[in-house]
Amino acid sequence: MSMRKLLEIELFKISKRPRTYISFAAISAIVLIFQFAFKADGENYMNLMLQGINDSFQLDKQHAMNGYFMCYIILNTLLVQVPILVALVAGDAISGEANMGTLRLILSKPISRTEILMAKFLASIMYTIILLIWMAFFSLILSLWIFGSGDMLVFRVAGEVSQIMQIAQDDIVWRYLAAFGYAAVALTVIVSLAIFFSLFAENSIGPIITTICIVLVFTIVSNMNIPVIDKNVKPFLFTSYLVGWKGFFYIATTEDGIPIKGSMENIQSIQSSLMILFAHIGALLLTSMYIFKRKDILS
Amino acid sequence: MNNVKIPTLLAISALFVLHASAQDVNSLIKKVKNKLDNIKKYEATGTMKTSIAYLKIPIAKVKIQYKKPNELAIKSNNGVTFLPKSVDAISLQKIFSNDFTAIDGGTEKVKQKILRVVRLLPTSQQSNIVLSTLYINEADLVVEKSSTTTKDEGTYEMDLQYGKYIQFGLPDRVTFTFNAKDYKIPKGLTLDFDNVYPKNQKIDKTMLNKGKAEIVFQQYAIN
Repeated sequence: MSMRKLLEIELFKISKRPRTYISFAAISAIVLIFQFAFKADGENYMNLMLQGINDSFQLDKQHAMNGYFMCYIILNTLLVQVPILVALVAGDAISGEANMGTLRLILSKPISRTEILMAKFLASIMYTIILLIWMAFFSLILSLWIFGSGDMLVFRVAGEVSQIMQIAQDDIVWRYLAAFGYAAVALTVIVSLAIFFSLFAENSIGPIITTICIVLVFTIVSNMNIPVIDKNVKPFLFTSYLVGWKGFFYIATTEDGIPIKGSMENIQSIQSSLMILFAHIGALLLTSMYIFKRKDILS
Repeated sequence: MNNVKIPTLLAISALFVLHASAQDVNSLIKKVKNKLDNIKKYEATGTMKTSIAYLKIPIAKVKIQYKKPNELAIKSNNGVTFLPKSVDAISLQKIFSNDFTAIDGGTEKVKQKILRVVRLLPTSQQSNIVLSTLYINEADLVVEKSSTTTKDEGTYEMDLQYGKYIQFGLPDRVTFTFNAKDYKIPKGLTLDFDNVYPKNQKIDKTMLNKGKAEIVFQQYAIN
């Protein structure tokens, strides 16, 4: 059986599970709630972000609260939750089969275990990508339709410094494409992790909960501002790199503080974050293959 | 008798000199004001570069509209533009619109030119301006530099450069320095995890509370 056929079967299985659609429904609901809230009372949020600046500067806040800005706010909030939604499907990949007793049946076919695992892995990635496209449609396209377009403001806190960056309208779309691409890689780490835990369980709750717990605990540690943790722990947590997509929106500036179109402040940081994420994917996938190949299938 | 006469004469002479100097300054201010008063309205296009440590914003294209006696509006074509609130102070007509007492501050060498320093003290208690110091080019009857202290918006300074519109008293370039509040937002609002400011970025901490707007006028349509 070809890899393509295997992948089609896995995608068919994913499409038949009701839990697959929970993620799409959750994303749609969250984005729509955000959009409604900002349409109704977004000025208050803008005032909160601009506290201190309002006394010194005038700004057309309605114009600033455009679709590009909305998408950034939504992604900033949502991309922390999406790993949970991805784990719902990927955590079920092997353990779901074990639970239903179909794993032994599949493995009795003339297909290698590596191919089966790869098919499940690729199907979960495809599901993640479709989820991201869905998210892009709701958070970017729909927001642009509701709030209009314009230059985008990015609010940032780095160390002790708070700053506002303005990105020209014609310099934004490629950043979103890159950010969604980065998010796909980051979420593939979650897929790999969930599939890895899925190998050890005979029902899907265990791997899903374990993956979610790891993501939550690591995210909390990544958020801590303790120098010892910053130096010795954070670099080793994949969650520290999940928010790296924001780097595409940290525009480089001239010495006078004028943003340079098409630039990024720290491209090396994005590159190294991507390398670390790919290393996690590779390590988890290879370990999963190694374990799966040697695993006694008893269910 | 002679002992009394000499100080009295000196005092009278000093008063005379001061009065003459005040008259000079008043007449100078009147000439500068009259030059500006010839303009009923103008519309200018230009660019505005706003610099303050926490803002990383592009140079904005702006339209400046003025209407007598002292209505000045600065609008941006970009949509999202940070306009310093006190930027309308670039209109010198605003300073001259108040009743004031002019005090001669002598001359000072600024930008390789000898300029007359005139301090304007508003006579009204209600005026937002506390003190304005103008550096006037007596030959061209234009203000080349000014410093204004206000009750509400702190002190702002202006540096004006003139070119082809000097006969109207309108500058080609204005550099406006103003006070601003520092900007701090909690990390929880931005969900940023970076704990250090990127090493390749320099931050001028002296510019956290001081902003600068540089307006370059490209074309005026006068009256």
